Amino acid sequence: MRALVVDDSRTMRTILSRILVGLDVDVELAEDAPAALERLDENHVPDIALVDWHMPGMNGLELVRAVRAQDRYTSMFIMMVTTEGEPEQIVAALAAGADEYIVKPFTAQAIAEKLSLLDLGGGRTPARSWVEDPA
Amino acid sequence: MMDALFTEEVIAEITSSVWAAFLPDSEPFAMVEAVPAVRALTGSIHISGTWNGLVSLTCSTAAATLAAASMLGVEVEGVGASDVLDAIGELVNIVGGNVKGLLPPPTDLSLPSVTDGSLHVDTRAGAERIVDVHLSWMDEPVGVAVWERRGGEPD
Repeated sequence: MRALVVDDSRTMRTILSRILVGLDVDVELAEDAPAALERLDENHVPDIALVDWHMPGMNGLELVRAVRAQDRYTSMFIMMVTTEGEPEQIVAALAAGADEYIVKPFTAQAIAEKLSLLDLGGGRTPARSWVEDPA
Repeated sequence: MMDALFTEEVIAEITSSVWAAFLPDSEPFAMVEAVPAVRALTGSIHISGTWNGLVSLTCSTAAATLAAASMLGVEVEGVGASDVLDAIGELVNIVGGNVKGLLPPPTDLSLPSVTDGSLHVDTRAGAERIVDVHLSWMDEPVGVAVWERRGGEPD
């Protein structure tokens, strides 16, 4: 299983990477949204991307929209990992194409439980996005 | 208006939950009356919308370095200055995000910034510190403050 962690904080990338490696997940890191798109373009599409919301330049929500606009990434799950915990933000992220959402601060157990809810080995189907995009 | 939401107890609880999640092997906070003047770093993050103000997290340099080392999973000797700034920025980002979660929408959160020393807020423009929490962690001072801008735009 492979994951791409996208967060502008090296500290947070390290924490998430440590948790994922402990779950036997191979991890790639990107420090911002453009770097994430480059990684996706260069490499085999990972099973899941963990995406921060607040990043300089292109934010995480915009990254989710950019990824979901491309058919080649349809099979990749996206989990938002963010301080934005209000229902409006969660709905916006799910509407944009995120599959899961976790609010900082989180525990390793919470990340593991979220991942277990996704059929990572089986691949994502677009129908899993249950929130209609109002746009 | 939001003074009732932002009590010392609530802000201390938010901060403790962030520390417990990301610094689980360290000792818990103790609330103290005052903190000694030491060399410090301050992370701050602005909230705008239905409420305007900022949240600041001030740590002694030693506390900030300990936190960075723990979060990165390295020894203190292996922590660089940029690591410390990044760790404090992420901690205030999460504390600020959880403070934002107490507010009625819509509100926006800025990106965090970290400065060397204590935070300077221009109170002439109407900013008022409404909560000031003094904590002790690993025998080092940590402070969290909430500043409300009662008029005009946030800093």
